[in-house]
Amino acid sequence: MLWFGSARPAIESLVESHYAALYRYAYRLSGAAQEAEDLTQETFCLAQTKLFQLREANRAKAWLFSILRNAYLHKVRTSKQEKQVSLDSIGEIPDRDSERLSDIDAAQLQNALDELPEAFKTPIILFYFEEFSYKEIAEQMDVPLGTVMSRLARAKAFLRQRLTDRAELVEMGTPKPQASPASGEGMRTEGL
Amino acid sequence: MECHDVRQLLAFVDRKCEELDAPERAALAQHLERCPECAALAQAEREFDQALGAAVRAVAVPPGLQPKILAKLATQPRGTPWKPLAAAAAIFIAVTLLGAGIAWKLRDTPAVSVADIRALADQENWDLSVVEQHLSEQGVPVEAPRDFDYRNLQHVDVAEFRGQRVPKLTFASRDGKAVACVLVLSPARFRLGDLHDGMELPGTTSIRIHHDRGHVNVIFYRGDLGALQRLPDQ
Ligand SMILES: [Zn+2]
Repeated sequence: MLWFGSARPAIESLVESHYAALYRYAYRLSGAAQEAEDLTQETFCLAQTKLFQLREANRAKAWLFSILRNAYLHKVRTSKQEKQVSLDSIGEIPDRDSERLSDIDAAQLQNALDELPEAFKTPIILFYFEEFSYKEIAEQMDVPLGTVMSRLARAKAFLRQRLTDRAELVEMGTPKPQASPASGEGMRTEGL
Repeated sequence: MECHDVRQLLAFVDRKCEELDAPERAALAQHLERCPECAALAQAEREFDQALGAAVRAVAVPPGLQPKILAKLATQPRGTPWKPLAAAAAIFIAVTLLGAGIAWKLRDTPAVSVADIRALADQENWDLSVVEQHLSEQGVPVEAPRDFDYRNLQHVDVAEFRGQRVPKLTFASRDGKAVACVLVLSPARFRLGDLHDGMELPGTTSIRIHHDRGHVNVIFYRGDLGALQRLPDQ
């Protein structure tokens, strides 16, 4: 009965191969477990209806990641939750120091990521996450390669600064901050 | 290469490096060998990437998420465009279930009587024009095969074949002994030179090629194909 089944897209195998990575990506983008689950679910539902658009099997991962990102952006825009942080506020790349980054607290990291506008957050997550190259990130985001590189450098500098600052605060015995003065992401997560 | 340039490129030190050409990579490596300051920065960059990368990837995936996703997908129509009418979706699912019923019948595990299926199928009234309209809504407008008796139609689907979306019609006889699946291939989308009209490929599932008003119908069938088709002057 092979031909009865042959028309069935292999959505199940895409789920098996990529659901965990997509969930992690969604979690880092949205910062909330329930929203990450919804986004992952939604991504596969959309993928199922658009599977005929996927021409090459080896593009499946990038394709699914970009569906998820679009779903996330759509949600953020319709609920007007997008951070209105100007790109300039991310600042220039400071001089590097060879300060070591000790253990990174998971909540601190997510707080720091949540402070980043999506245009900076996505490249940094894709960069660390799933071994996407600069070129692949540029394709996903539909921006020039140079833009990806400069955003990445600035986002990294920002995270380095945030995580090092906070590590120092914790070491000094200051209560662990729930949100930095500049972030305001407490409101954001409550609204999700 | 100067220190200033090198520091702009440190991000590439451990990457796939497809963005740097060979001379740039060589110059970068050469500079790092003879400049301890830049080498220390490169090492710090590497450690930062490792620490941050591990932290970014450390997200616990909820147990049970995969079956949850699969269960949700099973309730959704496949390959249906964005705005399916609820009625069309309901018919689509009903017809899909009928197809599954027939398939089970052929596996000698009859769960549903063919008479039941027939009665249900008759209610749906899927004649040729409804099928063509449905396929058009699915984004694959074609002229459906004229030589089949649409009272035997069980299932209309859009299949993926050689990277193209093609209509797939499944017919079954009342007694379930004859089953046929028809892929309608358009010459605009495929080179069909090797498929001659009337070609028969025997096997457990026989294949017949039928040229029909510009399209090529590839018919996979079991049992008596004639039982599924119209009488010539019907
Ligand atoms: Zn140097």
